[in-house]
Amino acid sequence: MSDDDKERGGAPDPLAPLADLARAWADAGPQHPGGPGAWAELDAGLTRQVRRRRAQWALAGALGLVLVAAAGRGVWLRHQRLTYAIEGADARTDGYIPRVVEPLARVRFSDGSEVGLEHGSRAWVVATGADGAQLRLEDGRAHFAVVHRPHAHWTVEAGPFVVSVTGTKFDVEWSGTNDRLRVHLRSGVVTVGGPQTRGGVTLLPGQVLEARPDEGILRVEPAPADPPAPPLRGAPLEKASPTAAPSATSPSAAAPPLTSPPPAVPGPAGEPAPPPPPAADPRLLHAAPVRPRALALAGAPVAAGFGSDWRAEIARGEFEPILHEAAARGTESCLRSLPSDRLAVLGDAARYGGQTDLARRVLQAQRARFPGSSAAAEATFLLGRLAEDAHEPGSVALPWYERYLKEAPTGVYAAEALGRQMLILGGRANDQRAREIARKYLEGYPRGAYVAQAREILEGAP
Amino acid sequence: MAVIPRLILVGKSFRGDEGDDVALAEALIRRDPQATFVAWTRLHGLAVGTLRRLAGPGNDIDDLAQEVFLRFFRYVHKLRDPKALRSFLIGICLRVVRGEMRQRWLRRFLRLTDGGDAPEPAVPARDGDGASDAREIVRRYYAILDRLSNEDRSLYVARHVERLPLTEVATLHGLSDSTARRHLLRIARRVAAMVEADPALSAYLAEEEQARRGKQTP
Repeated sequence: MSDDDKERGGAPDPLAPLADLARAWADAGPQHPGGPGAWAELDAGLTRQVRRRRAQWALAGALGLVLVAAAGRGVWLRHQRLTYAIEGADARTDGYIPRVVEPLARVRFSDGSEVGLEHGSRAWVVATGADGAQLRLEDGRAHFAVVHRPHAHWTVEAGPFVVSVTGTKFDVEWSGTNDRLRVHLRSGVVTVGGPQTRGGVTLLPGQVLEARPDEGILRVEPAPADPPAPPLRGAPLEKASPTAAPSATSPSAAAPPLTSPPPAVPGPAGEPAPPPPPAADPRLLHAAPVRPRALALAGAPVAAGFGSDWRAEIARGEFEPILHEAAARGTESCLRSLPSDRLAVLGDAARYGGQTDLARRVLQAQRARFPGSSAAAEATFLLGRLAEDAHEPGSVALPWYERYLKEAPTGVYAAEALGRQMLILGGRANDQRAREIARKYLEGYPRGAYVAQAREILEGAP
Repeated sequence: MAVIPRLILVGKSFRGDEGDDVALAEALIRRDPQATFVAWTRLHGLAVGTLRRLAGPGNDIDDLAQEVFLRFFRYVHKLRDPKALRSFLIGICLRVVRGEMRQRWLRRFLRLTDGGDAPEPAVPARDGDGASDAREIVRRYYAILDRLSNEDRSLYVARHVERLPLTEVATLHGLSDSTARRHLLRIARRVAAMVEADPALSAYLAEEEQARRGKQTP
């Protein structure tokens, strides 16, 4: 029985004669019909096939090269760090803009984004990356036009707040003196993170966020009729109304600047005056805060354990977390409630972190709350150093040093205070008092750090 | 001009007088250029006969053979088992015929050629000329097979006309043995019904059956 028969369960194939006939017909045909001509044709076909395959490989290779080149260019562009140029302000090489003297300074980035800094602002282009930049507005008002790109990520730090941006136009105003933030979103979306924002507040176009972390106030409301932002290159902003009174380069009229006057400068003879309390902003005082819990926290004394790990943090050089923690808790609360040692650490963190105004307030709180203590005396000396570091006139620092020498004549900073006094006065020609201090310094500290300067003052005397 | 000496490494070249298909396959796998013509000479008859059986009358076998060998030489270096050279060629023949049947169906569907331009001719009366009768029977037989789906036709022809073993038929069509057997039974029943409905083919089968019985009875 054949396989065919098995497939049919043993029955013979009734169609087998037809299949046999077909096979016979096929076998009867010419078995080699082509001959040499057929081989030549096949050979030509094989040659064409090889050529075609080579051409296909070449085409695929060229296409691959083009794709690789395009991808490489994309990757290169993707990882190319943004560059920027600052116009209208003297900037340090590290991107710090100490103070804008011109009506408007511009920071132009290579991706087309642009930042306008108004007169008096202080800002810092902290870092740039392939996807954006990190900026810090230390004081004043800035207008941003960030070009929207895939993966774009820009951050603008203003005090304890961080505005996260992907591509948009907005204005940021920050008063480092009063810890007040104002963000006006003109288009796009931004997220503002910081104290009381609980992970971030997202703003929509036409909204304004105003925050006073010290007072626990955080508010989002429709934008008032702000003047148009200055025309920036990043993208066309709203057309400036011809009737708008204030120009783009002048301070806002509709939204008064939040920056309050600088703290009073102590006179040479009197007790240094503490900075005036923050000016009340009626818009904020009458506004209902969006974070009732934040208001409840504001002004409340800090917990006993709050800041207990600050000393270890500052020993590790981590002062930013301390500042953020204090800002989040409310600076005023900290100033009112923190014990002396933690207040001293907060003051150090503020000084190391470049927050001069906060440092000054902490030191003054230390003096006011713990008078007669060694910490209060040290705060007196440090207030003098702060004034010098801020390049304020010598008449500002001098009274602090005098006061410190009265409060702690044998304190740890006594030699330093005397030396600083001598140097400030030594700059004044033929100053009798400078010579007296120089003699006193050489008698008291013959191996001190300022011996050379003391001798120079005495030898130069008539 | 200085002659630069070159070292040319030459492998064992294929000699056409090596009658073993395995040696030929190994030479083709290592792309020995001399093996190409030998393969064509040796396998052309097999390819043509297989194509005639698979495709039936009315096809340009030369064109199909050309296509078969173009594919054969393009892919033969991928052959894993040198002993399977002929089976490899038959597999290509099957695929080429299936492609041709597909194109023929398309042309017929678009009414261009190959039966699309004229109805099937009436069955001529058997005039006693055995050769023309046989050609007509074969033509009618393949006409019935062409009414099957492409896959069914390929399975049936490979098994019953080409008489390939069931396992090889299943492998060439990507089926298991049992599935191929099931399909073949179904197709055979359908072909038998169509043959029974054709007067010329049923008459031929009746005559053949009568002749077979006559041979069996003295």
